[in-house]
Amino acid sequence: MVGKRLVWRTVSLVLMLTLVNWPTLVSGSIDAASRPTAPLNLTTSPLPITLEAKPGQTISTDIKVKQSGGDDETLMAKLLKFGAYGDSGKPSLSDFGPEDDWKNWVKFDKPTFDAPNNVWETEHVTISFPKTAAFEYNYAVEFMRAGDTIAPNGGGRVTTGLAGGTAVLILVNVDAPGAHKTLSLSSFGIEHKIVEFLPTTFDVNLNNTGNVYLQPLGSIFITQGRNQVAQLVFNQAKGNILAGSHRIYKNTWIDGFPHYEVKRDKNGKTVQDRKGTVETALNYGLATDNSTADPVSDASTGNADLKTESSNPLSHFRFGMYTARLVAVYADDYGRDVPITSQITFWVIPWRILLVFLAVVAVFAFAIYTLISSAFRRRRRMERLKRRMR
Amino acid sequence: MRRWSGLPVIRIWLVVVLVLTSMVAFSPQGASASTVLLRTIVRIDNMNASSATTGSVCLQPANTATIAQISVTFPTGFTVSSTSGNWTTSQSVPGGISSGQNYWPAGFTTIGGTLAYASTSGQTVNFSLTPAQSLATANTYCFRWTNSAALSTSTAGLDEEGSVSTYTSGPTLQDSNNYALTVLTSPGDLVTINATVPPIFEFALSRNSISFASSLAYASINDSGANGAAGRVDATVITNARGGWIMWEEESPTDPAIGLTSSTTGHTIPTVGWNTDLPTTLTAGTEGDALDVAALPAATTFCSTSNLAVDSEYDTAAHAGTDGGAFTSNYSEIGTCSGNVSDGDGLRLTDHVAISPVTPAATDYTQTVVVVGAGNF
Repeated sequence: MVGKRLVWRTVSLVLMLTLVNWPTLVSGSIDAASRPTAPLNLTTSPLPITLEAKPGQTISTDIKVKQSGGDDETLMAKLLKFGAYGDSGKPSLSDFGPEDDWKNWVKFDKPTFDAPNNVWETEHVTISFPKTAAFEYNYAVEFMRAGDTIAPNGGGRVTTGLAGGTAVLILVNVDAPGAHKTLSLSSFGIEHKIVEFLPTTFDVNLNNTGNVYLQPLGSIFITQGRNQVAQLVFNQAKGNILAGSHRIYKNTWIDGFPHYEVKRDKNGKTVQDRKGTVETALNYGLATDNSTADPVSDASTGNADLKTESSNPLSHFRFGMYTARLVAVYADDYGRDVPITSQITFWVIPWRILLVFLAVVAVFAFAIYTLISSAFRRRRRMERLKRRMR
Repeated sequence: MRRWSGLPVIRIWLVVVLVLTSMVAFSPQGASASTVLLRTIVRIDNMNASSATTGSVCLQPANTATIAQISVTFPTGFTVSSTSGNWTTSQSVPGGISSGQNYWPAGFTTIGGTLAYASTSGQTVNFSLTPAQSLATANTYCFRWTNSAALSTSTAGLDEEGSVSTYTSGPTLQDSNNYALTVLTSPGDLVTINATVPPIFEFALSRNSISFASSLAYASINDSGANGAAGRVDATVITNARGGWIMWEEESPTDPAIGLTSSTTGHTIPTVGWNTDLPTTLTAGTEGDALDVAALPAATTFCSTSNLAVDSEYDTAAHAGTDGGAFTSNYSEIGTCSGNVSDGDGLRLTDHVAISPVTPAATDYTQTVVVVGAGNF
């Protein structure tokens, strides 16, 4: 009897301890009290990661992670998937569904790891594709602090805890039979057909009708008559277009004299109005690589390869009709460039400068007219006097 | 009436010269001169500046003739090899997805015979065709050079002009036409995996929690922002990647419900509902929990004006009188920087809560929100 009681007591004690500590056990041995207190600061590199693979192949990549919160911490890696959201290369993050078996192809060498303060750690990611894999897979590896999602202790106040993380995007094309690379131009447009001064922004809307992601590159050549006056690098940020989605790339041509540029104070800080909008102002200097009017796009002075224009500001004075010719390319399966071309025309009419110029010309002309007419009048008067004298 | 004989001789000669000059403009360009090829295509496989490249040449004759030589003149600035072994040619259709569709024109025809490198003269490469082949005007003939050591592109430029010519034995010029190539600037390689400046993405939260200054009141909307720095969290990004970034929020999956929950009472002040691109307005006395997000441009912002945008579901600054958007069980975008680098640009998060007079009293209402940032692709 005594032996049975002892066994029951031992079992009961174990059960009690288990129940009491259940929340701790399920949350990775971290309780609310041990929730990290230092502010989160995570750095990852590189971004995004683009990979190519064959069916049946195993590939791998390294992601570097550093936390700089101030204390030594424990980080964890979580696998998510993403798709395209909108038309500017934004990812749409989501958890895997039950049918997404491609989640199981990915392995982390360290799902949870110690991360000393300010030290780079490397997460080795291995993806083993089965022979049936095709064509595009988009993974996101999210790094966050282990235990960060435990509810915070508000100390008697209503509290919202903030847990944070960074997601590193991995795009993989699996080159299986049937892979199809096709990019088409939906539109090539310009923000304003007529502008007074540069900058002006071009929109290139490309549609990926294939089944693998693509990265278009190229140039926008700007000509006036037969002269090439600028060349903008298209997709300088090397953005990708996911299969079955479209993306709008923006390129700004700012290299004019004068041109609108972001206003900065003495310390180089941007000047903002009451609503927090960055102010722009007319700049009478030449645009540089750092010039920007509205960093809504790849602001580019675009003269990296231009041989014809000098540093004389007057040669950068923009007036008249210009033609922008887009030449974008994407590589086919054999690395050959497939070109996409289009062109548009637009006008730069510095009407205020023209008005001032016309006003000056008008004043000058009026002055000459007055001088000449008064000279004629004087001459006629002299002739009349001469006739009377006779 | 003046007589012709009365005109000075020099005037007569002037008229004659003018008439003859005008007639030349309307006369055919010499019957014995070459004709213009109906179609001329030269494609380089690598359009980047200063790059070695393979490529293709396609031509459609203007007249049927027996051709013994094809010459291709590349644009000025291209580096044309004069090494025989570099100009290996192929008349087989190139493999790959684009073959026969985007790459060679539909309905192309094999030239036949053996097309081999003969010589280089300046920018011109001469290929001999043995035996000479009869090329018909109805067909487009294509061939490739398959060794990239044969040709290097020039610096970037639009409409770099070259020409293609065919010769009968002799050699006598048969047909010729110009073509234009565009050479592109390679995107700057400032940010690549192997460069000395790697692309980085730094994401920071100013605090780990948002707390209210005092107990929640049911007669008004409670704004955590009134608690100063302790009542808000700034989520900021530093990145040298030019593609921009995005941030999402998600209620922690470990929370028992979406909203502020008291474990002692088991009650949840629920999140406001999804309002589809419009923040929700809370009503004092009716329970609701809303996330307010504001743009937070850095002192030196590269991601500003229209570039730094709060998702309209949470953008109370753009919708006066509203309180915020829904906390969600999946990742919902709260804001984005749609282009350029960032040096501390980010978003400011505050919590707006309304309670009712019968909301159970407790001191442990909490929730956990996961905020995730990522660079665009």
